[in-house]
Formats: sequence, structure tokens, C-alpha cells
Amino acid sequence: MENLIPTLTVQVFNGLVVGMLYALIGIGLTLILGLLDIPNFAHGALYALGAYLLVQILGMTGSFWLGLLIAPIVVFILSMILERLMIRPLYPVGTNYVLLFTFAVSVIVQELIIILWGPVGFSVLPPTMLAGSVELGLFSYPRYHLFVMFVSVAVIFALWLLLERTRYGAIMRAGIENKTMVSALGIDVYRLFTVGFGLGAYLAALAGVLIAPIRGLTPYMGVDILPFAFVIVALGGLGNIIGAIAAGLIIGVTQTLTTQFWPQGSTITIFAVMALILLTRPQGLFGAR
Amino acid sequence: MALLRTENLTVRFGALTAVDRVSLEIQPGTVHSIIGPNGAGKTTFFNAITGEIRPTSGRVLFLDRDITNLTVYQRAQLGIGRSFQRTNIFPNLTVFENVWLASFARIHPSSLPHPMPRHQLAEVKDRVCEVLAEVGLADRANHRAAELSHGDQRLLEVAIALGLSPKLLMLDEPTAGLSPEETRRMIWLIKELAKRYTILLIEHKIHLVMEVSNLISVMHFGQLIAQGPPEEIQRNPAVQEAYLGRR
Amino acid sequence: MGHAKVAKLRPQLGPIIPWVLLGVVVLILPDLMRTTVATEVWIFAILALAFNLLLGYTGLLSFGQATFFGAGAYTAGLLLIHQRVHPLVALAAAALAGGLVAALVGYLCIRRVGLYFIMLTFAFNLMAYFIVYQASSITGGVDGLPGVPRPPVNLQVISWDIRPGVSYYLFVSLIFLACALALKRVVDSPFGLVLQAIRENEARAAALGYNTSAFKRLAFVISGAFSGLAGALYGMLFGIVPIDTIYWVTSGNVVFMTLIGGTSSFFGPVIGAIFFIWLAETISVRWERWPLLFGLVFVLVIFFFRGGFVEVWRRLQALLPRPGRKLEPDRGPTKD
Repeated sequence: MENLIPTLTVQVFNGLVVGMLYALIGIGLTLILGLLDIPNFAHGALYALGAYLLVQILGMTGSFWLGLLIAPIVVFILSMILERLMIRPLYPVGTNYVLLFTFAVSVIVQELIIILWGPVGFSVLPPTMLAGSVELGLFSYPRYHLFVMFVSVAVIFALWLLLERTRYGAIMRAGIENKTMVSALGIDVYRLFTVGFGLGAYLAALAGVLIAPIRGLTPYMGVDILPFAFVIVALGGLGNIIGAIAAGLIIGVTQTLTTQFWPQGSTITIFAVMALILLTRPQGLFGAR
Repeated sequence: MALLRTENLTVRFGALTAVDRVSLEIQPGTVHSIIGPNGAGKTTFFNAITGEIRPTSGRVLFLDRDITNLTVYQRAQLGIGRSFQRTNIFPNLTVFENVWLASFARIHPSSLPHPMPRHQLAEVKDRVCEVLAEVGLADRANHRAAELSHGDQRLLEVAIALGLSPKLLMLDEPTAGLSPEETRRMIWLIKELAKRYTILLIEHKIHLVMEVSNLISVMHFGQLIAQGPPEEIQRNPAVQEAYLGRR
Repeated sequence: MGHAKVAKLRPQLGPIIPWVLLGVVVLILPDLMRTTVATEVWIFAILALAFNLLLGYTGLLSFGQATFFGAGAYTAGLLLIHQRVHPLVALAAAALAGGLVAALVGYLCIRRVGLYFIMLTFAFNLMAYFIVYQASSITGGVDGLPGVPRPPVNLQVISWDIRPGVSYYLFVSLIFLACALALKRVVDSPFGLVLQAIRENEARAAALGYNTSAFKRLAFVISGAFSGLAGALYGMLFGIVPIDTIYWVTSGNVVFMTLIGGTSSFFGPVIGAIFFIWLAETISVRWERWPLLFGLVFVLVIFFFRGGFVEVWRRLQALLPRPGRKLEPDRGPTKD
């Protein structure tokens, strides 16, 4: 019984770590949803790509830090190119086609990952500086996990600064709310879409990089995470960034705790809740309408 | 008994009152026109009658039956047929099929299948041919609706409403975007239809309205400011000030 | 996603040539590929036709067709394993299961449109998957439901043993042809035309007096029933119901193959199913990464041939010189 509180706290911490990563993925997906009006079926693939590029850079340079820095940026650039060259021409054709294209991309990227890096997957060790545990009073906790929390919070804070305190961020938020209005103000909406897509991809890839030492990599990690990404976005409200953060944390903690105490019910409950929210409160738990 | 009656019909969008306590009656066998400057609330009023919009307050009664809370499709089944200001057809279906859908809906709008006697299907087909002939689209029956000229599409727009054999035919700016010649053809059509249908008409072209209407209601800023036969409305100073005077 | 679709109002079969062609393909397909693969083609052809009722005809992009496919597969599988039912009973039960699940899912999803609709169908698919995953004592979980028998088809005087591959192929292709005929009757009926009207302009359809939600729900039920039936055939094909039958990637594959075949023609999805299964089973033995090819083909379709193979065929036809017009596209009032 004395072990319960420390165990519980550790699980909550784990939930928060996973939750922060879910939040990053969710913010990215909801941003793309809000701007481009499509559920980005390629989001999982971008997350996986981030993780695999980390492995590549790790293999080439031996530096986790370089991987952490560069991999998401590479995905950022590649996805902007993809959006500009292949998604933008599809907007006039219809959002259904954009959606289907992202689905095709997810298939193609997954196969490319297997071609380039093999079907088996990898495990990644955290950098030596972040290895081992930290004493936190009642329990010890992996240093790397704390690092992930720290980085996630920092990135989310930076994102908040961008969106709330810069002119470009304001334009982006306006673009989510009312594209026609933004366009009428003379702003190039299409370029906004490109950057927005890139930003969303960056966050997904970053989450992939950060999660690699915790969960390892498989080529199917993208396909596996996509449903959860959708749940977070539905729960938080389509296009609602704060909602995505809150939903990510809620889902992360809930999932970690239920897996510990009630494994059977966890995933079903999550998706049942998602359907319920979409049916009754499409603006999500945190949206205003 | 009035065919259609509204009682203090009001539609508010937030702070904007689009339709303000409009009460009027449509008598059977008449052509009743609604005119007013842009933004007067005419199409919103139409939408409140057909059910596309729920009113904030007030009632709509059709044949003395309160239809205020009925859905669009339920009202259509009662016999209210309308055409739209912006062409609202089924683009990839043929002209024939566009009107056929309306005629078929009159006898079998339900989704549940039940066998239809052959003669009923023949009746539907006959009705479609009748409507297409009346409107002047019979020779283009097999064309895809999207391929028609704008003028022909406006005719199809009316034809679809006619296919319903409606008790009340509501036409929202049927001559929108038509050339003078096409407008004359539409006026002629409306006059022919007036012999057999009760028509509620929204129009901007004043000469048309004066020519076909039995009764004119004038709306301005959502309110009904005048109502009467064409000659009376032409002389009404309030109307002139609000609308006619601005030309 | 509508393209030019000249529907036919007469509840008939339309031109006979495509059916003859189809019959020929059914006859020669086992000579072109392994019998099990050919059988799989017709199973997915039913599934794709059922899906296209929603997408091509009603304009509903449902991302959860696997929900009904899997529901039928597991229902039939369980009945065959535990109750040893007659195969036709299993098929009927599977169709019923698919239809019921579709009624529920459809009822809930129809309440939203556009993006929300797509995500809802996706969400229900995910739920169904995880329910099956968790109920592993019944369904076998991630390993699938093994041991699905293929009892003989007893019809009073005859007893047809469908265990040999060729016999089962014949059985499945007959069922496929029956399903195709039935679905053709549905889409050629007034009901089918109303569905197309909903696709073209739902608001106007409602303004004519059609309860569009009721029509969409019924379309779901019909689509779900045929999908469930296909699922049962799938389970009996390999003797196992893999969890893939209810996995959302299968839903995506159905969307793929239907679009690649062409949504604007009745037979388009059949072509797509042939192409997809052929690619999957034939190329996969040579190259495990065949989905990459499929993804690339899909991208090509999205950009250049949105009408799928059907559009390719039509464009080729337009290029060839024609001696004179063969058939009128439709008979209208002026002809009678």
C-alpha cells in the first residue's frame, strides 16, 4: 500500500509525458485541420518519418542532439514542398481529393520507410547526458522523460508566443476562423496553408523524435498513432489549439492509467468518447460555439 | 380561406432583424408579388415559409394548418413548391430527370420502396412531358442540366417547381440574369401559369411585377410597408420613397 | 464526388454488353491468376459496389466500410464454427449483421455532414476494431478467428461441396453476379435516382419533398448488408476471419479501389477491385512493397484520372474514330 502513491504518481507523470507528446501531435493535426479543412491522414506518417530521420542522423553522426534539431526541420521543409507542389493544385478540385491524397501519402511514406530502413524497427537510447534517473523525493524518474516534458512545454510555449504575440500568428488564427475574410484582407491564404501544413508536420515529427527513446520505432508507428491523433483533435475541437493541448494531456493520462488498472476498456472508451463528442458537441470539449 | 398566411413572422440573426413582424395572406388563384429594395428581407421571408430558416417568432399557416415547425421536405409534401434565386438544379442529371424527381416526389416521396403500378409511373412521365412542353424545354430533355444556357437553366428551375404540381408556386427572382428576350418569355410563362396556379413571386423588375400581379406587398428593412393592387402601389408615396423613388 | 452520371429511370439492366463482358471475365479469371485470388476479386467487387452506392451515387465518403465487412465476416464465421449453419444461412446472417450495424452507424453519422461525417465513420470503424480486438475470447482478437468451415450447399435435391477451390470460386462468382444484378436494380430505380439527386443537390432534393436523411440511412443499410455478405464470403475463403477485415486500413483500401476503378460508372468499382486484388496478390509475392505502387497509382488517379479506369476508357474511346453514333445515351419523352 505504501507503494501506491509513488506508483500512481509515476503513472501520472508517464501519462503527462505521453500526453505532452499527444498534445504536440494533436496541435499539429488540428492546425492543419483548421487551416486546410482536411483531416491529414498523412500525419502519422510524418510522425514516423521524424523518428526514422532521427535514427538516420544518429547513425550518421552519433548525435541525438543533432537529430532532435535537424530531423523535424527536414520534415518541415519536405512537407512544405509537398504541400506547395502537390496539395495546393488539389484545392480547387475539392477537399475530398486533398484528404485522399494525404491517405495515399501515408501509404507511400510507410512503404518508403520500410524500403529505406527495413521492416523490423529500432530501439533508440537517450543521449548519455539524459540517461538514468532523477530522485524526486518519493520515487525516481527517468531523466529523459523529464526532458521530454520540458521540451514539449517549451515548444508549446514558443508556439503560443507565435500564435498569440506575433502578427503572423494572428493571421494564422484568423485563417483558421475565417479564410475568406483573411483572403479579402489581401493576405496570401495559400502561402498560409503551406506554412501551416509545414508547422503541423514539424510538430508531428518532433513528437516522433522525442518518443523514439521511450517507445522505440516500428514502420507501423504512424498508422498506430493516427487514430489517437484523431481522437485528440475531436475531443479538443477541430481547429482548437488549446483544446488539443488539454485533450492530449487528458487522453495521455487516461490511457496510461487505464492501461495500468483496466487494460480491456481503455481504447474502446476513448473512441466511444470521440464518437460521442463528434455527435453531440462537435466543437469539442473546449470549443466555443 | 387564404392558401398561405403568415402571422407576425419575424426572423432575427443576432442583432439584425431580417423579417420584422410580417403578416400577410396569399389568396388562392392570385399572383401575389413581394417587392422591395435589396436586403429588404424578401428571400429570407421566402426561406421562412419553405422551412430553410426557422423564424424567431410568428407563425406560418398553410391551408389553415400551422406549418411553422415542419421541415423543408414536409412542407414540400404539403404542396409548397419553390424555385430559387440562384439556380439550384441537379447538374449532372438530365433535364428530364430533374423534373421527373419533382413529379415522382408528389406521389412517392418516401424512401421505403413499395411496388408502383405501371400506370402511376406513366402518369409521372406524362406530367414531366407536360411541364417540359409548357416551359419550352421538351427538345432538350436528354441534355445534362449543367450543359444548358443560363436562361434555360432558369426555365428548368421553374420547371422543377412545376413538376411538383404545387398548390402554391413560389418563384424567387425567376428572371435573374436573363436577357430582355428571355425575360419576356418568362413573363409570358408566368402569365400562363397564373391561369392555373397560385403564385407567390419575388421580383426586382418592376414592369414585370406590375404586369402580372394581382396583389403586391412591399417590404423594406424587413417590414411590410404597403400592400395593394399594382396601381395603388405605384401611387403610394411611402413605396416611392423607399423603393421606386430610388431608381 | 459526382461525375457525369446519366442515370436510367427504367428498372432494367441497361445495355447488355457490360454484363456479357463481365460473364466472360468471370469465366476466364481463374486462368489468369490463382483460384483463391480470383475468388477474392469477386468478394471485393461486391464490397466495392456496395461502397460505391454511398460514394458514387449518394456522394457520401464513408471511411468505415470495413465496419460492415468485418461485422458480416465475424457473424458468419461464428455461426459457421459454433452452429454449423448452412452457408446460405451464414450469408444471410452476415448481410443482416452488416445491415444492422450500418443502420446504427448510418443513423448516427448522417447527423453530420462533410468533414465531421468522414471522421465519424472513421471513429466508428476504430471502435469496432478495438471491440473486436478486446473481445478476443470470442473473436480471437488480433490473431483472427480460425477454423471457419465451408459446409456443403444443400438445396433439397443437390448437395454441392464447395470446399474445392474451383467450386468455391463458382459459388462466389454466382453470388457476386446476383449481388451485382440486385445493386443495379437498386441504382436504376427511383430510389437510386433520388440518391443521385441528394449527391447533386441535397437541399433541392429536400425542397422537393424527399426526406433526405431517411434515404441516406437506407443507402447505408443496403450498402452495409452487401458489405457484410462479402465479409462472410471472405471468411469462408481462407477459413479464417483476420482482424484486418475490420481494420480501418481495409476501409481505406476500399476507397482506393473504388476510386481507381471509377465512381461514375456502375461497373467502375468492379474494375478497381480486379486491379487492386490482382496487384495485391500477384505483385506481392514478387515485391513485398507493392502498396507503394498502389499508392503511386492512386496519386496518378487523383491528379490525372479522377474518373478512374472508367475515365481512361472513355477518353480512349473518344480518341478513336467512330463510324456513327451507336446508341442514344438515354431515351426520353420525345422518343416514346
